[in-house]
Amino acid sequence: MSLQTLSNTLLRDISNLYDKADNYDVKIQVGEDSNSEIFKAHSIILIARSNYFRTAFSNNWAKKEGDLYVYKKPNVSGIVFQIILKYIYTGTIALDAANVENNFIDLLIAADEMNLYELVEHL
Amino acid sequence: MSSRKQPKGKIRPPKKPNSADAQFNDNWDRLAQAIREIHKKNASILSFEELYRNAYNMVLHKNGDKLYNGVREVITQHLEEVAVSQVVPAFPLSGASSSQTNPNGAGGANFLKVLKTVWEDHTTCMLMIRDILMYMDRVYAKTANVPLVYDLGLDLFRDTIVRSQNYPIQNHLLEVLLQQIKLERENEIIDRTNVKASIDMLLELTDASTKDTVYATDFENKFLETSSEYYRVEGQMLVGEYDAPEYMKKVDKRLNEEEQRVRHYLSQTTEPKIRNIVEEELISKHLKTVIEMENSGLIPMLRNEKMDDLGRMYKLFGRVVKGHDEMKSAISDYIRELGKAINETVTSNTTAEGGNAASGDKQTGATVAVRWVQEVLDLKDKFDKVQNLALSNDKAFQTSFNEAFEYFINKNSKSPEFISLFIDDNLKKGLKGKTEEEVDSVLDKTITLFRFIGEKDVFERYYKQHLAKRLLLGRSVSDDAERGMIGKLKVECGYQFTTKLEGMFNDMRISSDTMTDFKEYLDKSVLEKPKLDLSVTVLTSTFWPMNLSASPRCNLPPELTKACGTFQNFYLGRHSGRRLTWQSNMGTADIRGSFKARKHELNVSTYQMVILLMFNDKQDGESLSYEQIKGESDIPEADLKRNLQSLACAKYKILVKEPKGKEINPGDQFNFNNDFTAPLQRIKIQTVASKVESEGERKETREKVEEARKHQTEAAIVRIMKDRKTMEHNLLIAEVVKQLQSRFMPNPALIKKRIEALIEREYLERATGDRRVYNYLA
Repeated sequence: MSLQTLSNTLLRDISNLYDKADNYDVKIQVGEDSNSEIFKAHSIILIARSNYFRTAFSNNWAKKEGDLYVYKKPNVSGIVFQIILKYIYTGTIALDAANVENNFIDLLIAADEMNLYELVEHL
Repeated sequence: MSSRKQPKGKIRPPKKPNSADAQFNDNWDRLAQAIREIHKKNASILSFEELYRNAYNMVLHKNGDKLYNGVREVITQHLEEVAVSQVVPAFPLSGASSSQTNPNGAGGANFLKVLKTVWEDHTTCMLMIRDILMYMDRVYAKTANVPLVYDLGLDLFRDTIVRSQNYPIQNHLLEVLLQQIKLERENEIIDRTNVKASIDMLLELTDASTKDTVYATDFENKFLETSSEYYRVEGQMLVGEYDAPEYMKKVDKRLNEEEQRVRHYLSQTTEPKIRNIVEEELISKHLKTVIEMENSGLIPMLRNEKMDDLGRMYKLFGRVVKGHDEMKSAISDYIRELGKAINETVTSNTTAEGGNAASGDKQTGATVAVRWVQEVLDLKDKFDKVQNLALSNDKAFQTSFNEAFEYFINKNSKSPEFISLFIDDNLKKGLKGKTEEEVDSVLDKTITLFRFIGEKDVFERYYKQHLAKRLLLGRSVSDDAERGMIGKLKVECGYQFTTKLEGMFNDMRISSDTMTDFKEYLDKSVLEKPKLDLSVTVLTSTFWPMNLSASPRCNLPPELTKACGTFQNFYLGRHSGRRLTWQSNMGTADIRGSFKARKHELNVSTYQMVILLMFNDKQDGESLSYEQIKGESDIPEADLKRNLQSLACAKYKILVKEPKGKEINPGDQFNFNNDFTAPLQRIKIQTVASKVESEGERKETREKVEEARKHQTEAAIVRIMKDRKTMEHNLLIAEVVKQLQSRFMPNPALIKKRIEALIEREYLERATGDRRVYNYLA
């Protein structure tokens, strides 16, 4: 197996966590009030991939309910956050997908706020 | 995410602000409040997301500069409060302005402790502030070209606390740090953690103008100055109070301590600087004093072979520029001094002996030589040991030791002869009681002395003489040892040096083969057999040190003459074109003497045999006069006297001389001593032989050496000129010196004389244009 395929399987396995977040330890509530939506994720992936989340889940700032990290991000919609979360897990983003096209500006703003430079540049 | 569904609809976009200002004020108030909470350690009530979003919104709405300045203000305010409420009350009691040290280090330690807490609080807070202002750092600070917020925090801390304009915090801090270090130098236990915290703090702060750390700008120089002064005083105190070994131990300890100190709580960049200071104040400044300390300095250490102390001195003094030089020259001087003493015992011995040197003191002469070499070897051993055990076999020291040995060995003009005699002594009887390995190692050491000799050609001449005697008199104990020694000389001086020595060996070997053949020849031949056993050693005249070109005068007995004739015929029959000259002065003979008591076998020289055989024809009691013996034997006068002396005046008196006396004089009468008795059946009559040369012989050797040097110098000049064709005077001299110096040091005057001689003999000419240039004439 070439090194390339080896890292491909790594990517594949990590990406799978996005679909099957069984042992999640983070609950993120996005949107406001009635429009809020809850995402479950792995802190370790978020921390590894984003400076913003690393800080948010650092000892100084993390809020916990039991064993779960809880985090609220009211100024981002569920649809935008889902795209961001998928990018965080898989490193990919489908620019031509309808949900991306329709929320392009919101996505850009949210990515910028959350310091996801690579995503911002990609967009 | 397993429960993730498609969103149910669009969420609303972020609220539009009612008015930008109101939004700004609202955002900023919350942030400022949050920072205050952080400072109060109440961060747990704060929401990161919210604060981050506030700051983000401010930057997004172009209020970055206001945010930045606001933050600066809040932090500054806080630090001012900290200064007043925490730092200032912790000032040590003595007051900052006075340089008087606080006798009680505890106040200082407490001050450092407070500062440590203040600093730690500040950095913790700044990390959190940085967290919520991450967006500002990334977007605003970069474009506005201002320090990131954390660095801003450091600068504020530097200006508000460490270098406060309002309170003398800086003075206190520096004074306390220096005081703590001083206490530790005086063996008090200090809390290094607190000192380290302050030092680390100073290392993290940057000086705005120099871009260097505040540690470097504010602290380091002061520290070095104080240390300099401290060790200056300590150095003076230590040299006054301790002996050299103790002094060095103290210095060692100090160096070690300072190194540890740097490692534990100072910056590594300070290490070489403080080391230099200790080295300068404790080593460089007291080098000579310590080396010359009476009863404990370098020379006493050498005298008492204090290898540990010497090793310590070597390591310690090696740290400073002049250290090893001073040691080297002191040791070299000492070697020269010891060498001079060894030389002096020799000269006093030989001059004391000079009065009655003519006869019986040859043995002591050799003993003096052997003792001289042995003492030099012992000295060499001693310093080899020092070199090995204390000086890490330092090449530079070796060189300087060698120069010292060379110096005093060559101060003794007899050293070439002495060394050759020492070797002679070892090869002659060395194997008795010594293994071959032991002899070999002695000879190896002797070779190291040989290297020091400037006049190797003089040595060669003596070595040849001594070797010739060993070979011809069969005194050499081991052929292998002889060859081993020649091998060593060959390694030192090359093939040319030893060819003749090897030639001498060859002559001995070939002669022994020749004698075997001669015996066979006699057995087979029909000739009448000689009435005596003849043993001949054929020497090639150019190899041997004596003049072999002519036969010395001597009337040999007819039987011997005849036997010689037989051998000569045999030999020349095999080797045509050669010429044999008989050296009757060098032979020995075994003869039987019948005395009244018993018969004795006498081993005598050929001359003695000739003399004794004359008495065969005489009646008992009939005497021969000196003149008769001289006339009949035709033996050269000096040899005749020496041999008569051996027969009539030495241990075994085969002849009786009238009148009695040690010296042989014309008119003396000699009688065969029929009453002679001796316990042994076989007696060896020692010819009074020269061992150490008498003054006359020495002069002769000297002349021969000078003569040989002339030839060698001329040969070198011709060799060089043949190669170069034309050459300037000084260059030629330099080249000749270069070629000859392995054998002896030619002086320019000698070379110049030889050049002139060569011009006279038309090997060279002076160039027409320039009289300082020579041309080679083919």
